[in-house]
Amino acid sequence: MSATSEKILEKLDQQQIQHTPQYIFTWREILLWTFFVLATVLAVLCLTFILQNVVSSDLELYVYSSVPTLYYLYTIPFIWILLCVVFCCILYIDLNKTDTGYKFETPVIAVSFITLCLLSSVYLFASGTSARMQSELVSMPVYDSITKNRENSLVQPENGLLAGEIIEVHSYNHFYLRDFSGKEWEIKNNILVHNGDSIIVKGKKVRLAGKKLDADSFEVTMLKKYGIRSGFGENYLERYWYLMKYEEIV
Amino acid sequence: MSTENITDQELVLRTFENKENFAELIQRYEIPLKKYLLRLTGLESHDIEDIIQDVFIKVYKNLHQYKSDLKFSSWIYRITHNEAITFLRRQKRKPKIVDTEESWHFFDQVISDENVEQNFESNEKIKILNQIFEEMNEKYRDALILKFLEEKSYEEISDILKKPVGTIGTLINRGRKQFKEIALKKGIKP
Repeated sequence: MSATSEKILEKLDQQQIQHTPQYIFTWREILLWTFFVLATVLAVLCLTFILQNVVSSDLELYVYSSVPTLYYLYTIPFIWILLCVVFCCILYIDLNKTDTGYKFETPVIAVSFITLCLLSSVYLFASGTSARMQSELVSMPVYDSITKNRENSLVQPENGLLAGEIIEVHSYNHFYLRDFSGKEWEIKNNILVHNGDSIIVKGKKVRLAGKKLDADSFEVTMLKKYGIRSGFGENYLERYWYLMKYEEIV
Repeated sequence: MSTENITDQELVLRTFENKENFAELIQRYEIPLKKYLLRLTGLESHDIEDIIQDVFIKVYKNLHQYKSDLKFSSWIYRITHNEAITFLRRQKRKPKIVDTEESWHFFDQVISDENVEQNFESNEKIKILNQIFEEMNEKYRDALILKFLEEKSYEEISDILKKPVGTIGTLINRGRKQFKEIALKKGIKP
């Protein structure tokens, strides 16, 4: 026996060093893979919310209004992008900590992950699941403060932006709205671009771009639903319905 | 009973039954690991002895973590590599190549296809080698040492450094390229 082996065996005896039990390593591995799956799911959800936010963004309204260009940044879902990057980093580090994760080539992981994320997020968005989840999130205090910011950013009559609830409808071109700060407005429209007849209904929340006429009235050039867009389905159905009507008329 | 024909995996299993069998594993790997540590770090013998002891104690503690689908040598080299890096970081020291015959060959192997003028003394070669290594990226240097000094296969290096085989190929190619570039800067002309 060499001097080194003697010293090591002696140290093992003196310090009463024992083998770490097998179950510790088994559990560690299980936990690492669980975190990996969890981080993947969360990253997919973040990507879905990014897609959701991009589709439901206020960018189109900003273009029709006179808000400063800086406001366009509001349309970028920074929080979800940041969280998505964080979860991607977590799952990459986590994978490398597993016993076998290092064997996967980085491009293979990246391509598989991106494909999985895109397919899942498009499916979640198209099925309306992401919209339902985001509606649930709105009831959370932190998320509520984020949506409050959106509400505030949309109530800028001086800059041609307004958002709130329709409280009275006189006609298609003339209705009343209570904005998110509680002020009531008479809305008159000349050019109306919107996505559906059913939008101008008492109780509906809408966002408008246009021009402030005086202290209490607003001229609208663009009107859109306020809220979270639910998948592709709803709009496809609307378009289909319009097509049928058009054919009937023709 | 002679343990010469017993595989590492069997010795691991026997160690669970009797601690004395661990001495055989130590004897098998003590010298190769010390050499590896010397090549990787250039540390003094007492530092290497300290690291080796820590390595074997860690191996003993984590023996249940070892899985037979991996070569035992790759697993123990991985632990040694990590311990050496931790030691150097703790001591805020940089690795240094020591003057050995292997180190001279290393120099020739890495830049062999460049027909480098090799008209300088071996001690000068080691000096230049150290200067090059100091400027080299750590990850390239580690891969080159395992490939050309330890003569490990790509799969083994992949298991030791916990990086995919493809990445190891890239590290070695880029490492050689970087090595040659720095060597050229130091006046070694092809």
